[in-house]
Amino acid sequence: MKKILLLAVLLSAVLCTACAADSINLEETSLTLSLAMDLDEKGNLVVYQTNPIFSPEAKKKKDTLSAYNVLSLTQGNIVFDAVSNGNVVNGKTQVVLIGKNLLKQRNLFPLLDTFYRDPENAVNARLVAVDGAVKELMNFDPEDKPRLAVYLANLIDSTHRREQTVKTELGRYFHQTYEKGMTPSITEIKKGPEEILVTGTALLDSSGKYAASLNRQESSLLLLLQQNVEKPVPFIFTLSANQREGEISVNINNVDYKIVTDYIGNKFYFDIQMDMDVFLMERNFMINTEENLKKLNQKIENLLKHECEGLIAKLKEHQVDPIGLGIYARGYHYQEWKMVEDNWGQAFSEAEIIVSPKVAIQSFGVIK
Amino acid sequence: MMKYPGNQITLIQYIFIITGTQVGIGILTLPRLVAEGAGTDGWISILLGWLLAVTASLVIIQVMRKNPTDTLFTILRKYFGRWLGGAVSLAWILYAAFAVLTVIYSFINIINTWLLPETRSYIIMFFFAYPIYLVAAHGIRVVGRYSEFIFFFTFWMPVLLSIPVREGKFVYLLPLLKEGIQPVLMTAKSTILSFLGFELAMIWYPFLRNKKAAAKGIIIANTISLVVFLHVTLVCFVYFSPDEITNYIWPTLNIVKPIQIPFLERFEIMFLSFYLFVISTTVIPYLFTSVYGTSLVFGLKGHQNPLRIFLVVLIILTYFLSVEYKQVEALSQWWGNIGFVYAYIFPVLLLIYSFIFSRLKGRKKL
Repeated sequence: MKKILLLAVLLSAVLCTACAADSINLEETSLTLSLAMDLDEKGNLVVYQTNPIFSPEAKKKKDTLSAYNVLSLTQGNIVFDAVSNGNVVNGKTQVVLIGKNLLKQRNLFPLLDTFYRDPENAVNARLVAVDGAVKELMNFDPEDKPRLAVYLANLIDSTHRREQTVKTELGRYFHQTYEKGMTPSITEIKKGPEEILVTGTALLDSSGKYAASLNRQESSLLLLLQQNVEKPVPFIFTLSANQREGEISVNINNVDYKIVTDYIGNKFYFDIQMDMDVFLMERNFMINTEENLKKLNQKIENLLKHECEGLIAKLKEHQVDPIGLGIYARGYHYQEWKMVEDNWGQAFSEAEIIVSPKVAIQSFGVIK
Repeated sequence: MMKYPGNQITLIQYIFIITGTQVGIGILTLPRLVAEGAGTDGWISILLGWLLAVTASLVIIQVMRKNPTDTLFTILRKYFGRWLGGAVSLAWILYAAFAVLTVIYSFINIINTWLLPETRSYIIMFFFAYPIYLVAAHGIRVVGRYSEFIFFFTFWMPVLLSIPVREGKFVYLLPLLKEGIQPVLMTAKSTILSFLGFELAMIWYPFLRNKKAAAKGIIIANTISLVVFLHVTLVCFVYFSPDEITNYIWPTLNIVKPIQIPFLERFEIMFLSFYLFVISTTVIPYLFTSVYGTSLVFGLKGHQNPLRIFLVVLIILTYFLSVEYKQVEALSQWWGNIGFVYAYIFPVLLLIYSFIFSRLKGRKKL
């Protein structure tokens, strides 16, 4: 008897919570899968959102909503609530697209505050800069691709797996923004006439505004310098301009890093030493690879050094440090770092940075 | 001589009760607290906190060794007489009750913030109260078995926390002692709350079967807790930037958030649900101490009735009194301060008094 009574009480309690406010019915939601922000011609914030449609009666598979002239993301959500089939839920957001116009004019970080403040929001959404019109991209509905958010997520992930662009989730962006020894870098995409393509990486400065763009090869170099490579990194080098030697494609893998730091004469000094394995993938000129291995080795090493230092010169010019060398400055020269920590971009641009790759061709395939 | 036949605990259970009590709400905020005080050197403060806790624990064991069959409450009566002893016992009962209240309110606050923002706190309390009752209504042995089981049951959680390390940078920990030794020493104070829990050894000691191992056991228990705290803190320090970590109120949960499985976007939901068990091993020992003490002081037959009343009062309290984050933080701070008196100062005083007491008694016999 006692047990039955208890069971009855517990069961009714369970029923009570089942109808409590925290339960969400999928049919009553407007699930944000991709979110975009941009500025219109007058400089007002515009928010776009796409959500999947589960209703069998609807003909389209996605719905794109836009909220013009809003002040924040939350206000955008309220507008979406007013026009959509259900209540907006942000927990499943896959991509957050930011128009380049907005990036150039406003600090991005405060606009994303709600993603970090409300634990229901996903911090795994990929943060992406869009070169060109965001509206056009959000309305893009190709017949031969999955729905936009999934397509974009796959596109970014697969490009990142090839080490052609950084992949910055919202959580990592938070990290990159607060870390004083580093500036944020996010994926950059562009809408072509028929497709969407990843163009490389957009670099933001310490104030959260757009600073510069890197193409895909430069993005690979950045990932290499960031010690952020998991898969082999493909590179194409032009050995020399004349006819006898042309392009060579290699995969770089198994990189061991050593970063030597110093502080000489009011300047930071970094030597990024990389010890890496190289796998020859393709060459489009006639050469006996086996006999010329040493020569090739040397050439690749020089070219890689040259390209890395070219990238660093570009970063210095814009006073951005997406590599995060400031972290090493803090770790090894704390007193000197303390003086420049709030102005690292400038100290970085004055620092002396040397890249010393050490290349070992491990394999040239099954033909000579 | 056997005062508690059939209700003894093994050394393993004794260790895990103490560890379970120590590892509780503190672990979610500890990395931030020590980072606020001493930056990335905060982990050294945890080592200092451990040293303090072990010292206090050994003092407790010294006191208990003199009275191997008494719990704290009977010792107090023996030393201070019926009225003064009763008053001090009451203070201990209130302390344990306050600990229960703090842990439960912190926990409800976390659940409300992270999981169920719109569920009323008394509903959460109601569902939490019944399983707790089932464990605490039985004697110390069931509490011991429960703590032992939960330790192994939740063993995967710290292991899971190691996953983010591969994306971390160990250079964040450098340089050591960047601001000197002083902030590290000051921050040791904020680790006191995390190590609270060993003071309940004053209740468990007479039930321990092998009393010779009590000192060894309490050191092991403190050390297990230390390893857990150090692990969580170091993982957070390596994963988050030192400039970033103080922005998170519960860094331990933020470190779980990026973990993603294809069918589950927010992994911290899973983590928090299992964390319920970890919390329960903190709540139950304090709750047990409180109601067991009540039954001893007031000469009641069993501790079940005070337990029932206490839990019902808790549910009613959570119905009328909801608490915000700031107040929860204040509660924890008070607990830390009061706990310092109860767990660190009180045993020393008791030890000194016990020397005087035995000398006085010895003289009387002469």
